Amino acid sequence: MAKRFKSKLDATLIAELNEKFERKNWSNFRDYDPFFEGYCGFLENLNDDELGLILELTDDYKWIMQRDYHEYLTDALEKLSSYSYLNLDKIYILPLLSKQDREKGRDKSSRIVAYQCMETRFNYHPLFSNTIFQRVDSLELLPRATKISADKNPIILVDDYVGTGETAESALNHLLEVREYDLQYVFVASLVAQRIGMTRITSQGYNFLVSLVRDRGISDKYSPTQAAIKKDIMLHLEERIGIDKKNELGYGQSEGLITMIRTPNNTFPVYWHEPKSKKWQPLFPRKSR
Amino acid sequence: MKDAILFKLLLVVKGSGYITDLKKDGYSYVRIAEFFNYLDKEGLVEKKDDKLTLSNTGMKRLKELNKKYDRKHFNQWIVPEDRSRVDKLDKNFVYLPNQNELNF
Repeated sequence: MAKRFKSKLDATLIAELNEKFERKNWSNFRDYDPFFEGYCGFLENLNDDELGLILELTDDYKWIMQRDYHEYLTDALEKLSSYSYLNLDKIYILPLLSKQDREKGRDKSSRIVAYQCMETRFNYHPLFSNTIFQRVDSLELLPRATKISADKNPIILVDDYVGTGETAESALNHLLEVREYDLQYVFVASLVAQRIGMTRITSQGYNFLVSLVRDRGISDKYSPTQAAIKKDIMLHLEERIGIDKKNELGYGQSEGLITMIRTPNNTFPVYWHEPKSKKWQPLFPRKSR
Repeated sequence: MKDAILFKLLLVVKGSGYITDLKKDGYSYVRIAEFFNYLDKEGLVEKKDDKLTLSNTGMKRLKELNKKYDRKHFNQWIVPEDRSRVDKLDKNFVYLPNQNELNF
């Protein structure tokens, strides 16, 4: 440790952090100690304004681990009950993927969510106990539009997170290029979605099923004056650690505060960006292993 | 918990509250959090105005430890008052005090 090390953390903060993480259920994983260590180290790199802001934002930060996916997925899919014209004997499930990702067979979390629809627990769910979840990887294997209109089965593109809605829009366009489905049978289902992404999709007439909708972490939380001050603090911090223009305040300025299995780039990059300097250790690095 | 560590922890809470000294002693953040958790469980600290302070029991325990160590082993109880420290200013820096912060 450097000779002149001066901690910015005090007894009150350290004690509160631990309690807070326990309340958020973040302490309940095997490698919690290094995580807590990393978080405190991360806070030591901040000035007073940044520290205050990060502590506030971390209060609102949501970390959904894979063990919780089934609950969120069930909650999103249960919303199908509002569409009384549907026949839920069979539901076609596709991972939500852009045309490129689908064609290149890229490893995406949407494939995990699609597989999760095969969960045994759905057999005991009142709405889905008689449902066959038909997982389809290739769009060419989907039934024709006339069959769907006759059978009234939903076609659902699933993912764990929708950010700006760009990928979802691209995936829907690709689907409709291959099969001209009546939109009333086409759904996007996501465990979590940023409101901006959800609005982008629903405004085009698509159905959207979601368990948790997230607003922008700063702009939608504070008054315009306060938000401007806080965004300025964040932008200075981002500049200090070398964030690309396109990722400022999170991709598409989403101001996300979320980690799923991985952290979406819509989340404020201070939480995931790894600069070349090892001094800055983000809390939720996006590196692929 | 060893009395020497407890003494230091109580002094940290009573003083600036900053954990610099504990880090310099080589304790991890996790361990430090556990220490404060212990103080809380033992009723030695309490929250006042959102700040961790010594409870009456904590003050009493600190007095006992003060007596025990008789403040001879100063390296065990001196805690730097970090709150009053300021970063070194450049020799050409022109200091203009904030009128609102002057107390004279």
